[in-house]
Amino acid sequence: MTETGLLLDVADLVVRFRGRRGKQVTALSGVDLTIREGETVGLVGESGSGKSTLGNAVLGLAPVASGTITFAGEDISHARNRQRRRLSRDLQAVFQNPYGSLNPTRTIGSTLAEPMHEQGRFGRAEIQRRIREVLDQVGMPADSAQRYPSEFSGGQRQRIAIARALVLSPRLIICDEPVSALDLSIQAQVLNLLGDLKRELGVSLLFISHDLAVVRYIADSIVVLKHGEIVERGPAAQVYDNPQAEYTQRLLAAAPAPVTHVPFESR
Amino acid sequence: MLILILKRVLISIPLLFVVSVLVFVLQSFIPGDAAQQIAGPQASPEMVEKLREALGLNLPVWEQYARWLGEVLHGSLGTSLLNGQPVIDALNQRLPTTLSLVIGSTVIATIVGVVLGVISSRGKGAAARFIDVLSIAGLAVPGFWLALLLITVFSVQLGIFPATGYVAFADSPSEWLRSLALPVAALSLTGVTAIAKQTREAMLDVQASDFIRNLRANGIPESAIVFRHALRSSAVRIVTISGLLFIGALGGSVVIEQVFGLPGLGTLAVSATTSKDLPMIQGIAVYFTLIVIVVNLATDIAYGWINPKVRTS
Repeated sequence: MTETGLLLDVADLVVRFRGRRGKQVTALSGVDLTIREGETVGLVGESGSGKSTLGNAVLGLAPVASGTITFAGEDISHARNRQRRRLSRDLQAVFQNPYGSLNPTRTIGSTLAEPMHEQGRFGRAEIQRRIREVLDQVGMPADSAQRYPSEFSGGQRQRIAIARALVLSPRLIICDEPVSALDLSIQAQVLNLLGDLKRELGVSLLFISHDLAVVRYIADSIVVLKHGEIVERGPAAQVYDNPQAEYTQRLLAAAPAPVTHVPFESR
Repeated sequence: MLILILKRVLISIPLLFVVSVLVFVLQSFIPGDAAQQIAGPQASPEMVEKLREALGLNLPVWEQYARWLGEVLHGSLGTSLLNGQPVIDALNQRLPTTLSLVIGSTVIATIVGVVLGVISSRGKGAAARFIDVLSIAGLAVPGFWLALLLITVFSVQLGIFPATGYVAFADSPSEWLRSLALPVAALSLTGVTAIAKQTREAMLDVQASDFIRNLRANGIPESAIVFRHALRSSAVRIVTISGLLFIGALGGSVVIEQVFGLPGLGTLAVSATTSKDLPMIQGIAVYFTLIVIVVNLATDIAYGWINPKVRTS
């Protein structure tokens, strides 16, 4: 652990993908971002701004061309399987699509047990106890463990996806558009749940969304991304109420406020 | 699951009835009949007419059908008009050949197809393109042509496998395998390519989904992701195609058995149709229909086993 509980430090991160005909597409060009222990950072931007790529890079799902990603003092820019598996104790993810985020052929219990099995140091009884515990934390009944994803609604599945992220008691959860695919009323519930967990467990969140209002609700500070570059950053209230960058103002103006309608992000 | 099986069995009864009526009516449109065939071209019209009466072929079609149905209800499929052999005996004698061929080619097609599909879904560019080319070739190449090609290369030139004939498993398992190798290869090519393509597509779909992303982020080894998660999720599509392939192979076996001179239901169907051996044709239709029903049922059971959504609803 380094200065003042710094948990994640992304420095001058560049991510490139090979596009069509071998042309390089730069998704992120020199991005800096830090998250402190217990802090929630909101990452906003339009489709294609690179916000999901940033989350993916931290999770090892996008290739780091240059720059470094440091997690709890450890360079994880190019972490592979073994290191990733160890890292997964502290670093977890919740993705957008509640229908695709759970393996439809496995029971909820089996899905929740998987991260613990992979760690290979938990007994059967301990796993069962922990599954009951996290299901309770996300407000799902204990008997959910025996059931299949198809038996749950989108909001319930997202709760289960959050439970899976919690199983190993991580320090940071990457939430990539965790509520974008949900109905508005369900969005609020899931957001409240994330807010509660953050307070009770002290877990840090990197909350990625195209919706500034949603981010404003949950985040301590906000980072605005445009075409792979950061255009604005600051405390959540400040960015939301008094946006400096023209792009941020447009983002805010584009959303009918207060939130009445959350458009699907097409990707 | 039991209810599902029971339902299917009940539905299959009217299905069998409809198929048998259809086959009966359709064959009645074909000019000529078995009496003509048996009597030969030199026979006088009176002789043919006598034979026709003796065989009951002078009766209206519906009455002929009613007689046949009567036999079926008594647990018999009648006797061959040509040689008086009970139809059931003739069919049961040939069933193992056809089943060996069709089951063999479906199993081979599924195994080889899944392996190729998984490899191509992992590989970038070259491997994927190879499977694409192969699958178009596999769909375009007719089975009988491939069969002749295989015979030319492996039987005539290399002499590894027999060109024709069938050896029962009970007589010699190794010879049984050898006699089936080329026909199974010829019959399974289309299936290999269909399965490979479907497996590839299904694997790519599943691997793009968020739960696989999550496993990757957790550092789960790729082998576990492929075999424990992605392949299992792709299995529904693969089983669907396998079931369809089996039924397709049943039709394809008619041609392939002919080319390789295998004494199966397919060759029997061809000879029974050319000689207008009505009870035999009917019997073959019933057998083929039963096989299709059983395969469909097996596919459904496999669905339930793979996909919990089916199991619970």
